[in-house]
Amino acid sequence: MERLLKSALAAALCLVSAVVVPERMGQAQEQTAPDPDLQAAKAQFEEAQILYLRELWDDAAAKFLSAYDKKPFSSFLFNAAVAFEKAKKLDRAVDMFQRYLDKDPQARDAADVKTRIDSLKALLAPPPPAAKTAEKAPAPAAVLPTIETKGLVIIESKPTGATIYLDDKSKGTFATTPWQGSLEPKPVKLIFEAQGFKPEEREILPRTDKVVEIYISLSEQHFLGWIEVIANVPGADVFIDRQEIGAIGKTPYTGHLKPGKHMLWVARPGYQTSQKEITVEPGTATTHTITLETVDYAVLKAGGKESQGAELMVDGIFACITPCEHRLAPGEHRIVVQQEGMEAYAGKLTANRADETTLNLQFSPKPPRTKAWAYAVLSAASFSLGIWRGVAGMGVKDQINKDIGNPARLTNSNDPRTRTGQIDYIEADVLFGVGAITGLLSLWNFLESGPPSTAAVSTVNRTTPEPKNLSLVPFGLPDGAGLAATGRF
Amino acid sequence: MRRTILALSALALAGGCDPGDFSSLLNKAPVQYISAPGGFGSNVGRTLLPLAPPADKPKMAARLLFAGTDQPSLAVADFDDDGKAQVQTASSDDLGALGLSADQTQGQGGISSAAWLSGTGANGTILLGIPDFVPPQGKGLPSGRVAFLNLVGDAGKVDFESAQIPADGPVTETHFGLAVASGRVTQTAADEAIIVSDSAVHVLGVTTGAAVSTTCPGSLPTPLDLHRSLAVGNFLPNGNQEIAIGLPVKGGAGQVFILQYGIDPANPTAPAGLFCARKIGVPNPAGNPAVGGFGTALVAVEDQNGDGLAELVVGAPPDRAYLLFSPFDGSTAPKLFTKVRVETISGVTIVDPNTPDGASEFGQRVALVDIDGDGVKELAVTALQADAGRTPKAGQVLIYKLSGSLADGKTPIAVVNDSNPIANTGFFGIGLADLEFNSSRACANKGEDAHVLVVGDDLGIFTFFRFAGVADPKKSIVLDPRCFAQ
Repeated sequence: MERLLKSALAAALCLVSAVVVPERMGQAQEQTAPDPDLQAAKAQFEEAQILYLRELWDDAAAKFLSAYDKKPFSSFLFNAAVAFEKAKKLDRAVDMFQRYLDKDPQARDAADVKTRIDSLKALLAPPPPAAKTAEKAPAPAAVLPTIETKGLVIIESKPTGATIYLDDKSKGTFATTPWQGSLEPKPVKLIFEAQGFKPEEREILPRTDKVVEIYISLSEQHFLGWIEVIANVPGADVFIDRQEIGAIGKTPYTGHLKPGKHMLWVARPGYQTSQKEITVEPGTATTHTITLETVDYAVLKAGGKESQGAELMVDGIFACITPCEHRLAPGEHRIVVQQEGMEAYAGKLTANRADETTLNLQFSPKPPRTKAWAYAVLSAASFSLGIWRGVAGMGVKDQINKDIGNPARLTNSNDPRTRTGQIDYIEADVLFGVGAITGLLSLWNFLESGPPSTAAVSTVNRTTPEPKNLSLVPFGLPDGAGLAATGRF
Repeated sequence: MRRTILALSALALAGGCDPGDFSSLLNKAPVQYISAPGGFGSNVGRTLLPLAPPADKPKMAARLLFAGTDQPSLAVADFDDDGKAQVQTASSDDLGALGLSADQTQGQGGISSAAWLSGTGANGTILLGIPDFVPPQGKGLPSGRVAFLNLVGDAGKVDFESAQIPADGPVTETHFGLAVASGRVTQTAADEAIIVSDSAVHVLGVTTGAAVSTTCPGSLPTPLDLHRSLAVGNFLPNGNQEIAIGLPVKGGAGQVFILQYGIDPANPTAPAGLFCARKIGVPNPAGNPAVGGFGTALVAVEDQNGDGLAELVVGAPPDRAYLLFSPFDGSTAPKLFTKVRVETISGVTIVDPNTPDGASEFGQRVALVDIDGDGVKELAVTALQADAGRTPKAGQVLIYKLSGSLADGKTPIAVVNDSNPIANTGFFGIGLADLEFNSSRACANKGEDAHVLVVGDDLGIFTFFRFAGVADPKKSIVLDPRCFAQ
């Protein structure tokens, strides 16, 4: 048992990888013999950086080129170009930038460097003939974006060809070993994986004035299984065994798994989640190919500031209370969102499969009905008073008619009651008129609507996640107006 | 809510109340009122003269001339078949033809008396008395004037401009034209103009131009106001018409003179003229004291006692009127008409049949009109200061039977007053007239002609087409000659 433990410890020690950072680490258990050219190059590089900081541009450039002579890392050419540019030796700078691109055409900053080369060449080009007339007033010097030297990170592994991830595997593959290049001067986690070997992680702090050299030796791993998950949709989330803890990576995904049965999910918005049970055999490598199908519905997301609690109606049927999501069958739909005290928003929406449409609602308050009610009360009062005066006038009229027919009464054609009755009738008519006018004003105010509620409508299709163009079509509502948003994708 | 508002609005806009409903509401009122036309002063209803309706307007049932007594103004009212009056007013040019104007360019004065002189139907000559006539400065003395208005009543428009102005009154008299009448006093074949001044009575032969004046008693007593009662009738058994003139005296005993044309028996050597055939004092059939108002109003009444002579009703304010029987020799006792005292105390009306209402100025005007259509005229007497309903001293007109069971002299068969207590300003009954309403002419169904009472006050003229019974309430007087009531 004890021997077994010692054997296991010895094996574990042998498997420990070593990151070789000369300034920090001399404890690597497995380290290759120092490369004198590399050491010389590093020395030249660091001297060049010191000269650069002292703004001895020519000397710094010469040192960078000396370092390059020792080890032809493209970063040295880049730094030499920067030093020449600082020294106003633009032709040399152009030459060095061009050599940099020739050396590393796939450099991540290749496009920027090419742009800079073009800019420097433009500065070096003689002015056009027409410009000679302007010699007395030379044109202002062109200003190029600030540029600085870059550091150098050298990553090697055993075995070579290990996959490098930065910080998180969910971001996908960064590179494969051996790799040399520049990284931003901030802490970064390196993840190494190779088929048949146990994954390793290391954190480093790249610097602009140093050469950071990393070497890692991966230990073989025979008791894990290696899987590769590929899908017809790149970038889909990969879940193993538990979805609630989040995706462990994105397609194409590779990694080790403990032997046994595992549940594999591959999901991506706009697609139906694919679920598959896989069996991992120790020491094997298996590739799982997943085909994701586009979902057969669209999703409508309704929300926005001050739109909490609004009713979303789709084709006249209550859907949900905002903020909320609602699935839509493909086709044209009539969307109405109502919130108490606000003008309703209404629109038409054409939904396609896997569309995700967002309604960012901006409700417009309904105008207050205080004035309408005031007019209504005034109208009712006017009509009531008008009826009262009218009835009084009719009473006078009836009484006069009665008196005319009464033989015992001698009604005079100059009877003053006619004037009373006329005044009653005029008062009634005036009050009826006031009642009618205020009634119409009341009706107008009751029917009056405020500015229409609006919504910023954006639609993306999850299978092709670029926003689509939308057209907005206004249309009438029983108590207002709205805008119809129609998207065709 | 919206439906209610819309319904009410539609109701108001479509229906509403038409004030015009009241414009025609009173067309059939039993009392039609003519307010003072423009240009009239405050004395509108004193001078009233019924005329025949115009021949060219068959729907017109009656015509009434009226004038203002305080300033130059004259108008004719034509009553349609509904009794509604259409008034034509004399323009300033028309009045200028009468020698009158409002700006003293010709002369000033109201028309205080009027009488139909001659003519047929609506065409004829009207005698207008202008006792207060004031000539333009430097053009004579203010002795009064009489104008002859030749009325061409058949024309579509009354021709006021055909006036002829006779000579002004004698310079020795005042208020020439104080009263006017027509009659055949001097045995002529045509009616003569009888014109009264403050002090004399003149008879003008219209066709002959002859003029006679009273010689009795040489000078008449000064009238109490700008009014002199005058009646013409066959009062005495000589075959001619006589003139009765009332001579009330303030604070004394009033009289009525009967003037006869011929040779005065008391002065047989004098030529024929107007002499005092009778001097009638206040009768005293029941021990009544003499009253100064005796003679304030006169009206000749057709024979009541079978002697073939006209009788005379004399108004004797403040509380009586008499029916005097010709030949005024006391052979037949006068009949007394009084307005008995009626008081309302604590809501209880008390009638005192034995006490005349001395404050009512009963007897200021008298007239005859057949208001019930029985062919016998009733007596209308004005109580000028009687309280009318809630309006004190507004004036009343009481109507009595002259004969029959209801003719007790104390109980009127009808009482009329201004039924408008607001507009009533008093002097109701200052003018009275009997207007013949020619229903047979105006109504399509050819109704029967009837007489209606016209009463004037200071601001307008009332025409009564119906009366409320008083003496026998069970028999209301509902005769209404208007076409719609036939």
